[in-house]
Amino acid sequence: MPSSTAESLPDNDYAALVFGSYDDAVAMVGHRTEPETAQVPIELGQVKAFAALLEDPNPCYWDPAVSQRIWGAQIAPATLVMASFSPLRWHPTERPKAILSTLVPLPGTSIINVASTQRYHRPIRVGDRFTVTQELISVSPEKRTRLGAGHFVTTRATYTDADGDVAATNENTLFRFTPERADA
Amino acid sequence: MPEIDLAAVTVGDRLGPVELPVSYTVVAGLPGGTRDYFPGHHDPAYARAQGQRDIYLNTAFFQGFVDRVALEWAGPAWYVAERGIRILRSVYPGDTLVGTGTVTAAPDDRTIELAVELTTADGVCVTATMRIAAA
Repeated sequence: MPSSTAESLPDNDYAALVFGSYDDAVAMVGHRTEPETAQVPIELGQVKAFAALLEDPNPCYWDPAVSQRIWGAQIAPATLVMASFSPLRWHPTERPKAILSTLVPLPGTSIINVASTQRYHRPIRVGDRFTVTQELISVSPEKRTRLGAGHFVTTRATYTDADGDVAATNENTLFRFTPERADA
Repeated sequence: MPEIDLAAVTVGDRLGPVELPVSYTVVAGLPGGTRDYFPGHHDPAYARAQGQRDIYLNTAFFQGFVDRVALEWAGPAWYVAERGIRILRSVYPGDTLVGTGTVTAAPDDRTIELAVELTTADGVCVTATMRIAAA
């Protein structure tokens, strides 16, 4: 099997967008991705880095004895389920897998997130390593916001753990648009 | 860290405020803290080309901060079972992010439902509905 090029993610073309028409996008609704396993498991260093960024004093993240006493495990902030699928900026052999919402063919040149709903079936733990499948749920007709004209793209991700149980789901809506004006 | 007395929790009880000054260092910390390299969060030229006035906080930060507002109030023996957020406006370096919340339901002795809001001087930036569950 040939090894992939050891590429960095391009800085200004992150998750390069696929272009097409609204009809192309609607035709893709219902598409599901193949399962993808996270490059890294949930790790204690990432727990502390995330908690430090937020200045989150939850003792479960800072004192392992507290987490063990309450939960019988080292728990992690729930958001790390999704964060564990943000691709490393470089890997010696693996190309990063695209986020489904960026593969939806539409005319817009830019993306911004507008809504996200997660359900967590259990506390998330250090050591968890998830596998995700994504599904394109809907694409709106063209809408205009103060950012410009574009389409709302909604995807649903389902995260299963090493036991094959669904641990979390994420329904995300982003706005795929062409900026009306660049900010001066 | 304080913990709630579930018997005393009442619909309408207020959470917070939880305040965090958002410096350039905080926004520049997003790749390290959340693994997110989307350029809107660290590249000012990209952000401005999108119509943003500067680099801005990401979804993962908002989700974590909303969870912090809820669990800093409830205590370490609670976890986030469900959380929906809507992002209404961006948060930039120089802003102070303030989180507040309200108890909207306490249907049983292991579940509390909350509404949480994150604001800056520009107004409401994020609204959230949450369900937290006891250990």
